[in-house]
Amino acid sequence: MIYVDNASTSFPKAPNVGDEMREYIENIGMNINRGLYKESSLVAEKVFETREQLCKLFNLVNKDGSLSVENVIFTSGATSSLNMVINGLLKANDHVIVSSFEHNSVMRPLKFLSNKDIEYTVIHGDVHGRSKVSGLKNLIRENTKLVIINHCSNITGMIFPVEEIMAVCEEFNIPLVLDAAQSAGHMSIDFKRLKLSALCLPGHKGLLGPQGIGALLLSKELASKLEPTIQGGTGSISHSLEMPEYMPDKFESGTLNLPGIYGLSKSLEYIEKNLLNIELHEKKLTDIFLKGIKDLPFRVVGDGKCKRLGLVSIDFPSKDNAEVAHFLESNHGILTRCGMHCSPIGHKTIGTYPQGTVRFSFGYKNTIEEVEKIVDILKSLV
Amino acid sequence: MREYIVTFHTHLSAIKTSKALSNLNPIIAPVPRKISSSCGSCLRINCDQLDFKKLDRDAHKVFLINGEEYKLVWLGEE
Repeated sequence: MIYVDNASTSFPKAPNVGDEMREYIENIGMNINRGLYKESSLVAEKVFETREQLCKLFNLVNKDGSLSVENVIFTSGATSSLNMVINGLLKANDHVIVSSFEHNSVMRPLKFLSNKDIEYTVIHGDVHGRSKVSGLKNLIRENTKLVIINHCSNITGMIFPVEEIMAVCEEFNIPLVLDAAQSAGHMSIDFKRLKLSALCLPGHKGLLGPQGIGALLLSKELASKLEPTIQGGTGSISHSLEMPEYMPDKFESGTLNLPGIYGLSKSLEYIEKNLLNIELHEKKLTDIFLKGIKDLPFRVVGDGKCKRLGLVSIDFPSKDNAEVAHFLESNHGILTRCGMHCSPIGHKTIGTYPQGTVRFSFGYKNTIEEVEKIVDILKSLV
Repeated sequence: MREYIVTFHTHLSAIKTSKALSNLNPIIAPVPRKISSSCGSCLRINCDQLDFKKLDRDAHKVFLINGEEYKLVWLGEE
């Protein structure tokens, strides 16, 4: 089997992630912020340390340079994080700007809200996957409340030039939200340098953690503006029927996914030590792949000159992409993902709607030999 | 040796302080009803003299346990 569907979820996970989760479930098992005893405080310390790990990895710091641990919110994943921002901030008559490569985790909530007098505008993107960021100022309105950007397209693998829009967002005081579903764990992301207001993270993709855990990292300013979309027990100010205003309790009602946090903590240890090597390895695999298929009569989507991460989409002319994906799996054990990749807006932008593409997304455990084998098989398709 | 109870505005603050004062082996515990607090957790600390400067900024109050009485000895920001 050659697994090249890491953009869906990474496999294998970082070393010892499963062991760490098993240890929690079978030998620790306590909740936090509820019953208060020594064992629960050990779990609370682990949760706290995982917040610290995320702050360090993504440089979420206060003005005095201390880690902004209170503004790390654990969620079920990037979709949940994005929904918390979108639904927690926007009101009727507000306006949002998004890239033309957004995932449905952004577009479906916005489409739903468009029925409630919340409008969105899409930054123009061309068929090569390039976004026209120079025109951002022209899209801003008096009621623009958010700019949401998919950091790395899950179709083309191209990196959105966030640096080119962050100054505009700052100038107009509009919160910049980065969906790092495909970039976190694959490249360095600096919350402070990019002047972000929110960073939405899945634990189970590039961060090599388990499914069902993710995080929302917030600036202090946006945290104070957002309303919690889920209310409930936090184990704090329990005498009150009002939600706590302080962080992170304001956004963490209900019991946290503690096995997930233990697993994520272990995977973050691995990422902290290996991020650069992972990035270089995946780039090497991608370069070999792109070079190998360069002269084949398939359409490789996206601009090859732009900065990109380790995922490549191919549209096979005169073939059904689903048939190609099935052939690769059934005849050669190559596991890819075909179709819309939950981003019809992205596929429309690059002209691969409705046929979609076949996506090859490499991970830290893929080898050069595997990539060369895939190239050879693709050559045999010609 | 004295026994202190430190209350906090947030759970997170209790954990931060617990880590900062780990050499004193603080014990996390429920807040006695007489004291109450905005957060449900407190730290119980046994030491000769607690250094209040080492408390997290969201620490709320420090009490000295005297029999069944709790004597307020330090007050943070409300």
